[in-house]
Amino acid sequence: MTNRRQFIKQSLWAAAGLGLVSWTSRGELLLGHGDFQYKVDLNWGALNPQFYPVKDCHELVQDRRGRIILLTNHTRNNILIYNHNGRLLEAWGTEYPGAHGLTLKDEGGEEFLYITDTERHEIIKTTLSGRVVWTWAYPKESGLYDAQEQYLPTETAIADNGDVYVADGYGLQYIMHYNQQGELLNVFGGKGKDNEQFLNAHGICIDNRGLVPELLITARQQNQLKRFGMDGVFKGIIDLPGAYICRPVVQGSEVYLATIWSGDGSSGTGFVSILDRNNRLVSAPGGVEPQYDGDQLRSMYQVLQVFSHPHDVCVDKDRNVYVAQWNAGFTYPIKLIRV
Amino acid sequence: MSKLLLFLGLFTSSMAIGQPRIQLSPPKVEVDSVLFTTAATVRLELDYPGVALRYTLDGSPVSQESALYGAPLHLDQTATVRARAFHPDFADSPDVRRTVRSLKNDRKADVVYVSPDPAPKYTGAGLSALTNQQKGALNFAATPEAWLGWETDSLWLKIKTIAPAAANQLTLSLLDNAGAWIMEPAHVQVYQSGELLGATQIAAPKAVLPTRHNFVEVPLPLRRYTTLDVLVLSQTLPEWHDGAGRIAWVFLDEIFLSQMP
Repeated sequence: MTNRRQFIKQSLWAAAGLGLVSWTSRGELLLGHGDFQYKVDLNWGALNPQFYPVKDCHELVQDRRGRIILLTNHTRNNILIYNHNGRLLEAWGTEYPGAHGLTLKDEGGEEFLYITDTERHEIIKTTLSGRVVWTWAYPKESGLYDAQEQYLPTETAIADNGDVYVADGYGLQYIMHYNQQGELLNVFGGKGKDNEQFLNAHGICIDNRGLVPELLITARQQNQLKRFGMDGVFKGIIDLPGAYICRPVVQGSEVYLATIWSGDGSSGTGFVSILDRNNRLVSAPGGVEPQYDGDQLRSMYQVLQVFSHPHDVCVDKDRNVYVAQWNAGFTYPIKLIRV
Repeated sequence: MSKLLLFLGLFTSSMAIGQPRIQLSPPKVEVDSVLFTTAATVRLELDYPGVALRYTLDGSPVSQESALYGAPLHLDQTATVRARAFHPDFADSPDVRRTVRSLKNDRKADVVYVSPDPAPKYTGAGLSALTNQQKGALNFAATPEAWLGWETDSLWLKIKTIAPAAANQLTLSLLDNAGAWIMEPAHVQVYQSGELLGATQIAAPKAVLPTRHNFVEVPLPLRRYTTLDVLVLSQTLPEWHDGAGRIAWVFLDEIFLSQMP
């Protein structure tokens, strides 16, 4: 694999002088930069919309069996389950009109899904076949919310001890920390421009790359990813100017982020962001090549209109990337095949 | 070597066949000051191997024959820069337009009344934001103090000058972001004491355009004005739009009364 990658790199290097870097030797478009370059399968998840319609394709996760699970806010089939080739295996879910966030957690052998619904103002835990385990309403006990309408949860992250972190990304921007029994243990964040606050806390995940686990939380409107301890203590900011990032997804030593808009935030923009172990942007499929001046990343923008509003990514064991898009003309997920 | 190049050339041109025709993104446009007193600098960028950027300054469409962009453009007059990116392997980028506007002919005026009120989420810093010469960002959420937004079919504004001022043009500075349901209005009419002085009609766009600032100009008879009434009629979202048939939002950040030479 390394040899092949080196060969492709060398071929690309040779081609660069001719201005041909955008294609593989077989004539396929190549996206991305450095060690993270991809062929594109625009039709990977395409289905007949008469039978399996989608509205926004919001989030994607992969289960232990390698199946790709898509969450859409179309109530004909909120969940569509594909194999890695894009063949539809299963469809369920009619009760999630505001289906937005989807997180999968292996809990002692059985896998569960955590769905956030911004219209129901609820978090719902289900089995992989759609049986509801529990439903949580808005965090009234926090004393911060007067009504459920203020609570528009966008994402969850589940710790190994079963604790559940909820990002109220379209609501009051608080991060709620519960145990698995639904007891509220801590609340932090909130809307604002201070270090420990957020403008659009859209995504959250647990980062297990370091010695101790941390939370990575998106401040999308600020083009920032913020680092917190599991106890909600602020640790640092990763600046990604021009990148309106959604949920962070940690895979290996990298962080992948669907980037829903880019540049000036115009409609039709967006790309995929990939950060290395030092949280520096190293590849941006669909975007301009990341360049740093010291620690300052140049302001990012889209260069090719391959994506339109990527909303989530899922990375498989071969490091291929599946991309779900919001407000993209009812289109299905795209696959990036790593070369 | 030349044989090899020829071979590669043939090979690559055939490679592109059968690929989905992917379009270049519009060039990034950086303007140091959209509203200026002496000059503005406009920078274009789409950093991708093999891309050529071309532009016009006279409002004409950009083609392969238009001027090739090499260095930042320095403009000392009101002008609309139109630009596109070209690459042999990809479809030409959408057209991007950016207007820079000279303030030297403007007269001091205030907006003293508006009906209906702007939407609660988009009240800007109040009516004074409309005459403070502070341009809102293209990403309206980045400068909430600058933009006033309405979801209404019609909008009345009353403008008052400090002292009677000679003017022959009223200009509305607007946002066009069809993806966010924001469009320039269909019609702008200017009245004085019930008398129609001037009107400008704008056709609905035929397809989605990149987000842009828009200046809608209404020519007026050259007179000394103290108060003017402005009627803004919103665009109906066109057939190709997701919200077809619904009223488009109007986003306004500045109003200018000027005496053009």
